[in-house]
Amino acid sequence: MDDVQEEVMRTQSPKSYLYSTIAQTHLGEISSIIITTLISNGRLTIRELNVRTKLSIKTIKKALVSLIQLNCIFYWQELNNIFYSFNEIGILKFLHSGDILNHITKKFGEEEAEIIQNVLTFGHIKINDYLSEYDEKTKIKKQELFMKLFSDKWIVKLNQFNFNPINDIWNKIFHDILKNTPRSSSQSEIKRVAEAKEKTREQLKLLLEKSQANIYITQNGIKKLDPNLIVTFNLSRFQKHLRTNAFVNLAKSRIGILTAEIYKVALETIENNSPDLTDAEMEINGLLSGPTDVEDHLLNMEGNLLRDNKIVFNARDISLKLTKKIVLTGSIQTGGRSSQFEHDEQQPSKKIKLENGESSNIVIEHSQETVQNHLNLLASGVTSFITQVSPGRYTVPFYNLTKKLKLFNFEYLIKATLKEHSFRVFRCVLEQKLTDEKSISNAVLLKEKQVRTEVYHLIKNGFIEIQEIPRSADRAASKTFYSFRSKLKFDYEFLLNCLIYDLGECLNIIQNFKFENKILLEKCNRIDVKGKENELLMESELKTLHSLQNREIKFMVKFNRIKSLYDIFSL
Amino acid sequence: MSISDQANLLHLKMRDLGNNKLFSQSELQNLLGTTTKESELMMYLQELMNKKLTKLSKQGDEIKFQAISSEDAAKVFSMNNDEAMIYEHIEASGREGIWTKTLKAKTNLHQHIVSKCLKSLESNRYIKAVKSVKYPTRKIYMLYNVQPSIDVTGGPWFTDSELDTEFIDTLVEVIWRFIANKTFPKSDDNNPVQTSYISQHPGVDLDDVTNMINQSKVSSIELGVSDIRSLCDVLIFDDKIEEITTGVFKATWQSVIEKGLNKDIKDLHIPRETMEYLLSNQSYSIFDYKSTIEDLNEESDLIYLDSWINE
Repeated sequence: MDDVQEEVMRTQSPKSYLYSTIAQTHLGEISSIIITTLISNGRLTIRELNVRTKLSIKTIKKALVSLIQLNCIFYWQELNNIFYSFNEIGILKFLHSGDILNHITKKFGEEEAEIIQNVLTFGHIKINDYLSEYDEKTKIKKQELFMKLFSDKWIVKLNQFNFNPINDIWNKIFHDILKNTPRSSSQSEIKRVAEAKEKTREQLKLLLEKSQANIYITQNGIKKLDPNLIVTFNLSRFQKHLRTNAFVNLAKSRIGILTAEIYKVALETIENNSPDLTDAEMEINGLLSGPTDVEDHLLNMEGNLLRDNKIVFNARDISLKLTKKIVLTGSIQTGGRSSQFEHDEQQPSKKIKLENGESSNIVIEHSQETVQNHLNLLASGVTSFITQVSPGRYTVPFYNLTKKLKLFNFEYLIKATLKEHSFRVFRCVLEQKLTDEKSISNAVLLKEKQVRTEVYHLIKNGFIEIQEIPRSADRAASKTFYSFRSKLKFDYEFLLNCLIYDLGECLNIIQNFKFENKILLEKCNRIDVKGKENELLMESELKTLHSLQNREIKFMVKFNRIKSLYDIFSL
Repeated sequence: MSISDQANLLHLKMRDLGNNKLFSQSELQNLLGTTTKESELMMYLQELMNKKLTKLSKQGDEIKFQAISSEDAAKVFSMNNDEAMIYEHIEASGREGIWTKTLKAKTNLHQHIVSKCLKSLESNRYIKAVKSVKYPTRKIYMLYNVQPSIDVTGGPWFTDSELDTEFIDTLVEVIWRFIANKTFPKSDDNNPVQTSYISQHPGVDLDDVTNMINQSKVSSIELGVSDIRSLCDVLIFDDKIEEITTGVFKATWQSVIEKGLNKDIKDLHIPRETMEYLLSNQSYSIFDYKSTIEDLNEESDLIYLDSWINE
């Protein structure tokens, strides 16, 4: 990659910086150049790519094949031209790959993680191809694992439309329908287009739903996955897990660890069926263009799931699934008001006789009433983590809670970086909506001078906006009055860009210092040196190697911490 | 200072009906009885006016009369004309006080004379200069025995027209501790990992907080409910307390964590299995920022949150 391309990658947008860096570390330089070029140009044909990247057509074609397989690039055929455009799903899978495997290992086990790892490495796999490596006995076991991952939606069927940009699919269907909708004198053009849009919406929905048909076969009375099925990793399922994680952390900070554990179980119970973070309709340009369209769409999605009882749980579900490793006894107190709750504080236990003759108490089940009390804590309070749909049955207000989650994280980020007083001033600006220095100073009880400093820091970081209210016709600065406000939507977008840039920066620094010590690292990777570093390397080399490893670990910690914030703001 | 009996009677009657009451001519005539002629009444009023025992003011289109106490009248009587005029304006400004510049504009006197009069009035302890919180650079005067309004003093949070942040911080801390103590039970005897009150647990009422502050004598002056409310608002901005319903508060768990009042998982007396489980399920969140270690070794290795904008 030459200097100009590197500069383009870095400066055109934070996303381009991060994605190209990931492509460079995971897929190599050629892929990175192609991705950078596609991000800056939208969509290009092979010839155009050849002109812009100065790579040979053969090299581009080779790279495109694997990039398409890995869902990093979309293609779309129009007349005789094939256009290629960037698909961020593939790169996001790389970004999250470590966390995905870690989570799958924790939740299911090593073998399931191995399957997922293979799916991630190859982009997608045909079940039969994967199973052909194993003997009959292992095959059956692996098939079960596939079934398990499939039914929990961690892997999904790969469809043709996964390789095409959804906007192009929409446009094609829309234009076909519009062509077949005749113009009539009794119908206005606006109505005709709206009708065509509605029909397109239905057809697209049908196309997406149909894709999940013909998945299972029944063999000897046993339902199993069609071995000819091609599967890919479902990123949206992992994003739901990230949301769960973020909600649990919020509950931990607002209520406490045990309540958060209970909340975690509740969220995991409905995680599979919880609303997707995004869907096809939201990605189509201009379809949801009204000010509240996206909000309505998401609330509608949530409402439908609630109506079908897909995101509902009760205390009994949770007390059965809750780990026995935690003890709930004594976690809820009545505060001496009444003793009606006190009887439930006894955790049901059973005396068992041990081999050495002693008896021991083991917890057999968590008290349902204690769990219920924790659920009440989650449902009450200023932040409602759950809402009661009918007595004893609860749901999670995903959309509204996500809004609060972002706000809390955003505010605490201000607290962690700009300290307490900025945090106080920011929350005051949010509360007062449009306000001036004097009102802030009166409300937060800080000196005006200090408020001015805090406001300056907040403006400098883009957390609040300044509004000029001129008081004279010539807009003289001395007479002008300034007020402040915060627009959270833009704040989050701005912060997300900062976080993405920092993620890219972390990876780039690691890459750079590795490049600076390329000779030493290559030496360490040699087969004859590997494992015998202490004997074959000089003391100074060992020292450098050690410091390099430490530096890399530190940056990976930073990377993961920034990523945890990035995960929240991309919800 | 001798005045006629009738004039004296009129003055006494006017004073009896209220210090600041304004009387119309007909009302005054009623006070003296209908037998008194209008010309006689005018004579008495002129007498009182000469001795500075009444003053004229205009209400709408009507001219009204107000009685002045003999002491005040004696005060004004002893002043020269300029001083009396300035004194009158200062008196009219009440608890808000009047700025010297406004005084000059209203009296139409020379700056030098205004200063001289003010000096003399101040030395006689008829007026005093006060510092305004709103306009710290202005010299504001009001009557000696008048308490400046909250707009001028800034209320209980200001000491010598400076915001007393130390006093505020102390009060805020005391209030938070009071609310936190009532919101969370002591975990020592119960579950060491988390002990909470049931959701129906009542929060802390604003009146309770006000009583506690006034009884604890943290503040030398008595604070009103609205003062305590503004302190509670500060605590809400700090996310240390939450308002569950109007005027009822609960402390936030996050504020307890930040104060370091809860123990780290590693320091809890819990079964090893539970501890291992809780530790293995910990993930990074910004809310734990106080317990994370800042890595500040090499400057070149630092990544700033705003590096994108400052690139």
